[in-house]
Amino acid sequence: MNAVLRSEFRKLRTTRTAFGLLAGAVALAGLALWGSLSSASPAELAAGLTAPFGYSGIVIIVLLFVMVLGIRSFTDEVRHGSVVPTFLATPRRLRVLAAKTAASAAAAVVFAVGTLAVGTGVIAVYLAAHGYAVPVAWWTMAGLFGKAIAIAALWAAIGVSIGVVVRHQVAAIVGALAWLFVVENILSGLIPKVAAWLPASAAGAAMGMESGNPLVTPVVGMIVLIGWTVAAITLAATVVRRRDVA
Amino acid sequence: MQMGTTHAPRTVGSPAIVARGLTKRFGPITAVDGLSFEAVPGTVTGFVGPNGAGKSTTLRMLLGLVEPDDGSATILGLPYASLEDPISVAGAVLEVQSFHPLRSGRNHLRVLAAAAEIDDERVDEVLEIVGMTAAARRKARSYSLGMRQRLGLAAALLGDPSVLILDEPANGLDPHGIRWLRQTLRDLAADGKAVLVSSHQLDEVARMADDVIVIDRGRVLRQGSLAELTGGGETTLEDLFLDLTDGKGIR
Repeated sequence: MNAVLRSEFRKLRTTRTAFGLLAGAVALAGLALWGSLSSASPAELAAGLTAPFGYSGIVIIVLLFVMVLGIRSFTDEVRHGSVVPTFLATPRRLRVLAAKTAASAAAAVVFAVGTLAVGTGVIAVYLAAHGYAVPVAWWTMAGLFGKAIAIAALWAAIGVSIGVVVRHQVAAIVGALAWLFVVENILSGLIPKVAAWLPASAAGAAMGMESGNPLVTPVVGMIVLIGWTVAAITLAATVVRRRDVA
Repeated sequence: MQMGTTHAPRTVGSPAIVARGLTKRFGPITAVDGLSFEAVPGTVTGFVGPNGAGKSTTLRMLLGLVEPDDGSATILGLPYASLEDPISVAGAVLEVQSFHPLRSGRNHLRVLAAAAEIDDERVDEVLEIVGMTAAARRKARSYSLGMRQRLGLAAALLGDPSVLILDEPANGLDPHGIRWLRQTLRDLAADGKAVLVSSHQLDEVARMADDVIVIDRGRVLRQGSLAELTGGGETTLEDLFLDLTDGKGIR
């Protein structure tokens, strides 16, 4: 198992895909922050930092990028044909799925830490420059970071499973993003009580975002999200074991 | 040519690859229909048939990539997926394009070496064997078709396996490449390996194979040594092939 995991980490390191996505996530988070800094007063910003909602923009950006990273873990291999040598080297395909899930989740942790650290640093420096103390205790921040990191890791794992089940890269990415940003929003309007339990809403609830999931508490939200992750991996495991590699 | 470690000669005649009644259906189409054959160590076995005869599907069943609907395939007595150290038992090249275009050839092999717990030094060794050392650190998308075939063969040789399974390895090779491939496969067989090569280039098969299996529509039409099948030179493999496949030839 360690060997397969090492192989997956080598895959991540030896193309620019992961580095490009990480740069994209940091750049987009920077852009979002720039937007906040230029539209909110330091007082508003300090207040926003207190509420978890102040971080939702950055967290959503992280989730977006780690999901794409996860999806590409398998769909890149299908697209370029390297899935054949991968499965020849490791015919026990569940090991490949497990290694891809673990490697992508680990990369997601790096994405989340990097993006949040840069974001927090920028806000802290900005507030300090305007004479505001960062109005949040460090353990509150650490708790928020921990939740965001855990959600990002789960989200990347779900991405890997989506890629395994859908296989076609563009279809998987477009479908996942459409679900994340469009379908769940529509369902939230139509059937709010059901939609509150869907993955993106559960992630929002777990983060403690005010934006729209009053039905689910943070702890329950995290449990629901773990449930979705387990379900996705189970489906991917069933599919990857049985499906022919043609 | 240096092939790395040498194996004790295997008992000639005990087959390395055994297919028994392999069958695969895709919806209403039976792509492979009760196919049985063997390939023995120390020989190059040509696996020939028109396009669509079921060659690629059969090779994929041998390697556990495609699940047969019926029948079985074993390599040194076990299904490929049950082998403890699969790429050190059988190496395969199935498609010309089987690597990320933005990863270097060397890194592609290092990724596979990690998964199979093979030393990185072996990566440089196989690159040397296939003559790819100079291009090894370039991104794979810059490789010519011939270089891609060589990189594929390098991946197949990574575990120094005793069985090689190659799907149309001569496709895209220039005359130098074809001669190199023929000599390489002959050397590997001389080294005691069982080499199974699918092809529709019959003159090429006739020049490198000891044994030949002719299939069409998923069934074996004829198998035996090349000398037997061609009556010791009475007829050519091409004539035999065209006769057996109703003169349809390569579709």
